[in-house]
Amino acid sequence: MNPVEEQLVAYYYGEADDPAAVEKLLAEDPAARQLFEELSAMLAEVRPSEPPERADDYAQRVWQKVQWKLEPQLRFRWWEFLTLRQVVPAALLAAFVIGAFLVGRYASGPADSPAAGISAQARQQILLVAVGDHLERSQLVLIELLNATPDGAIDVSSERLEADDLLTDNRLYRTAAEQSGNPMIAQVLDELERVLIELRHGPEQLTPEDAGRLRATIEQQGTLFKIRVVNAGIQEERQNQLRAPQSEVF
Amino acid sequence: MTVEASDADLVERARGGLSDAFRVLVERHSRSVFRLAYRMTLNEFDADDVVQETFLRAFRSLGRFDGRSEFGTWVYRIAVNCSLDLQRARGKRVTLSTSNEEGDGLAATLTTSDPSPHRVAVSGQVRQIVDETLAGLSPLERTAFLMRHVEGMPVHEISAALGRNDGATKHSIFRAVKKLREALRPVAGALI
Repeated sequence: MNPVEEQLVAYYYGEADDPAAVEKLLAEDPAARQLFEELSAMLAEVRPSEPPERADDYAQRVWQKVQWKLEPQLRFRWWEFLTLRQVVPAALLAAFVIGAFLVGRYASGPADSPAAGISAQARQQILLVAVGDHLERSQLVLIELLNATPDGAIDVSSERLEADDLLTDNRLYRTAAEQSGNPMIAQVLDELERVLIELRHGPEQLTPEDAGRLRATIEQQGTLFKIRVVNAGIQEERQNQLRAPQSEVF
Repeated sequence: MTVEASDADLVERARGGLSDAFRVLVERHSRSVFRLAYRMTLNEFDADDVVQETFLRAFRSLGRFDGRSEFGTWVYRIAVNCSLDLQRARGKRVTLSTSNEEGDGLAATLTTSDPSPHRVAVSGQVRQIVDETLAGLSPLERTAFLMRHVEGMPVHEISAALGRNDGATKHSIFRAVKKLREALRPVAGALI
């Protein structure tokens, strides 16, 4: 392509360095005019269609995949934030929930309860499983709500029952977190509790507007993410416990 | 009334580890990144992979984003690099997927103001030529051309996204036009 052609292509796209000079050329040079007409006709016919359509929720799906892969990194940052702000060692993050459970469930228990014969580390193992299960179940309820696609009323009767069941334990963990000086964790559980209460005391059939409000509450608070972070900490702690020699567990 | 947070604000918040801020950025830009990635790879599944990898890299590099360019342009640039990396890793030339007989994908179409049998025949011929020619361009040539020709982006923005200077971008566009013109020469008479 010669310099004239380059100028004409640039002019066609409105990118000529000197449009006035190109216009003068077109006015004075029939060959340039003919060439420009050919180029314009050719480029006008090149009309590639759009790239393949993506689903309406494409952006959300991308985020879910990205979040999944970033989770360890995000988790680190969040712990780092806690460490900086509260001078709480990151390793203690998961231990809070264990402590919370211990305070709530066993501190006032009878001395001859089944738990009394189990070492502290073994109890921790059991409690890690229990608390992890609580958070897993909570996540599932929230995910169900977030993924509900309303065409009309949404039946949340099963989620309401689950929320009712989760509320008791959640209150226990939250109270213990407050008492054991873990306000950040207490806040996460407090946010979860509000969602659970709203769900529990709401109707079995949500209107799309009700569902939208509930979803907005979950999304604005970042509740699901925060629960996943805490749960990830617990799973790590569980792995660490499992790596410990068996004799130290019991 | 709520005011939508700017990209710059969201970047600042995301740097502090707030995932919700980064989520908004991902959701805001994922479709445009997909379009760019598809232009470069000509394969929707590869393009989806590029979109994911782009945002992963973007998050990990947020600390190096100096804000001199728009976040969208910066992400475009990452997407371009991801696309090139993908193609290098596979060590293969891009081939155009023409699985759709009705002309979806990157099929060029002619206007149908004159749907005479002759015109229809020429249209199909031009479509095939354009498809083959675009697929034969380098990813940067094809992307620069399509960003200008289809998306209507100004050259300086394309340059920023591709990490090149304006002269190099213009040259890529010219080369693409030249190759298209040469390829379409046999049917040029029917185009006027």
